[in-house]
Amino acid sequence: MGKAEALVVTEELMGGRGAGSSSSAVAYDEALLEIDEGNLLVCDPSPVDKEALIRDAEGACKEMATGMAQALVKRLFTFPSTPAVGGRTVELPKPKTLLPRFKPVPKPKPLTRWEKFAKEKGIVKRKRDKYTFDEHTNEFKRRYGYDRVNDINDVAIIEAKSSDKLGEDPFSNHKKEKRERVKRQEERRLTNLKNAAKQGGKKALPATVSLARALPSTDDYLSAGSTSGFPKGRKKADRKDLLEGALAASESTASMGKFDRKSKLDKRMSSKKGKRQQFAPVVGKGKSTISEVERDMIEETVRKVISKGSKPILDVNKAVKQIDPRSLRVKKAKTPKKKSKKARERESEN
Amino acid sequence: MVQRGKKGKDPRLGVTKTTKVEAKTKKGKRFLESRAPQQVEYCKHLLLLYGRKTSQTVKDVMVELKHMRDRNECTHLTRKNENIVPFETGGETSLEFLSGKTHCGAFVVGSHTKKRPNNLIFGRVYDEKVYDLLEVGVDGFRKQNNEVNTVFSPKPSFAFAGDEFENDEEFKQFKSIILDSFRGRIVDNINLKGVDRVIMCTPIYSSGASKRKQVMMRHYAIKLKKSGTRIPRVELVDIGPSLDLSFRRSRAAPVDVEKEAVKKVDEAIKRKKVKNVSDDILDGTVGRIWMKPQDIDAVPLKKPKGKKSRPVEE
Repeated sequence: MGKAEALVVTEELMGGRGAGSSSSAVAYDEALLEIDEGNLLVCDPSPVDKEALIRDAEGACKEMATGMAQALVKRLFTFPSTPAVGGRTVELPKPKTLLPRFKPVPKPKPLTRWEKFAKEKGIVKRKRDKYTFDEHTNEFKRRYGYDRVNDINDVAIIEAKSSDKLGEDPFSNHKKEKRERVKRQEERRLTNLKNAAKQGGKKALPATVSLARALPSTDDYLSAGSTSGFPKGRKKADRKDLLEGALAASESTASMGKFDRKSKLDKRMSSKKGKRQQFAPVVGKGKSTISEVERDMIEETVRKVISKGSKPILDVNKAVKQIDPRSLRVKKAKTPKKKSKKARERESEN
Repeated sequence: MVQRGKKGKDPRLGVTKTTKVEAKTKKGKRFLESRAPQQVEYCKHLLLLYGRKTSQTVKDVMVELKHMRDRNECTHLTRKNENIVPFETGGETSLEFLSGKTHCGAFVVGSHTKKRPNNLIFGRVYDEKVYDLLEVGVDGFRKQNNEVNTVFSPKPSFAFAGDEFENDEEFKQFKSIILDSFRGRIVDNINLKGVDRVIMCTPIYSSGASKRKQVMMRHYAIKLKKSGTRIPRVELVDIGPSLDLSFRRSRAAPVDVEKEAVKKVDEAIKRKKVKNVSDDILDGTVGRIWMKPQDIDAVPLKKPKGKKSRPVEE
């Protein structure tokens, strides 16, 4: 407290007009109050004057508040202060009253595969200069990034090696290798994230990343033939799938294969195709002229017509409805058309 | 070897691939990082919203509560919410969702029913779950005094009088919730001029034999007057809102959750040091920036007019 500068209360600091009407305040013993300066909180743990509160709640409340606010102001004004714009600032201690957090304390990040390995082997990350000397240009250049040292883009000629294959472009090879390195690193990153999620759940991942389950892309289907990069547990396209695909492709013309020559593949597949329409045989086998199925159908129809209990064959009501009454109507004789007013006038004139 | 998936399913559909979904823009990334759990939390935002049915009193109270917080630290949702009944099972799902969306750790739900007229449910959220609840009824209410037209600091002082706030569970919870909902940002320094208002809470005692637990909440402006000493004399002006509240239902936080949530964090890893910025007593905050080396000889400077060569008059 010794450091505290002498603070003279001026009109400006008080931020108010001149002294107004004075209201009474409860005089508190500061030792009995619990003051949490970090929260600007004052608590009076002793029982309050009940009778005063019952008599005049508003007045008693204000008196108590004045006393407590006075105690807080007194405490704050004794803190060492520094000048600031429009007054003086004091440093507040940390809040004493413990309140629940909003979100749990973040857990330490799970180690990546490399970090784990480095820890085991005792490999320590060492700081490297951002700039290194470039022998080609005789100047210092960035180690990575734009305009970096040994940038392939700045090299005009690459000397041929004995191991070079004919027809391969070393520049495009460099590019390809770089692309593959980036891809592999992304894969490693995904594996690390997956492992982290497995250990610590969703919350172990960085806030900006989340893992999602997605169907394999078409690229994966296309790469189904090759063994590398083929996800485990997925079905390989088998002979039948390939055959179906080839057949579909052969029929994929404007006429859907109607006017095309039948593909040889069709023969292999046709045996598996089901019949869409079924027709009963008309001609019977052996001596009989009609087939059994045909005969049964005729007998059934005849039985329906002849049998006693059956409904009359002719539905009179339905039959009557079939006839259009307008066709039966006798045509009336034509009546002469009414003449228009003008025509009549013309006639009378004549 | 051909591996097949579960029977009756297309084996190709049964197998999915894990991919990562990342923030695509820098802005989106920054937003997600701001929502992530922090080691030290500085501010709990307040969410004000309504339940199934409300009364004009409840609406007015909510607006007043909104004015007691900084505008950037408070979200007021003015539509009614059919699904928000925090005390009933399943009635807090929608509330938890909204608090997550608005990034608010404290909330007040206002409602009005025949059984519980002019109802306010104070509460807090921890780890995207409702932490605790305290239901109060508004018995008396007076709006903010319009004559006092000054702007107040976003950080109020608090005063709690009465042994109830130390002994009674509901009063204790009330004190904790009010402090949490209205204290605003945790700061290292404060301008003494900024200590300009106080929220006062004390129990209400009635002369009758009613056993209702009631609390009065008052909002005063602090006026610092000359006292002749270094410490000014304090005068209070009632600026409102004034609230008389009676306790209804309450639900304290589960013990294990409380243990986890009320935790002292290692303050050593507190604020990240801002690079190249220093404080100077005379100059205030000073920032250091990097300038490219300048070739002063080649810099085109403004030539003074007097030095210009003029035709010599004869």
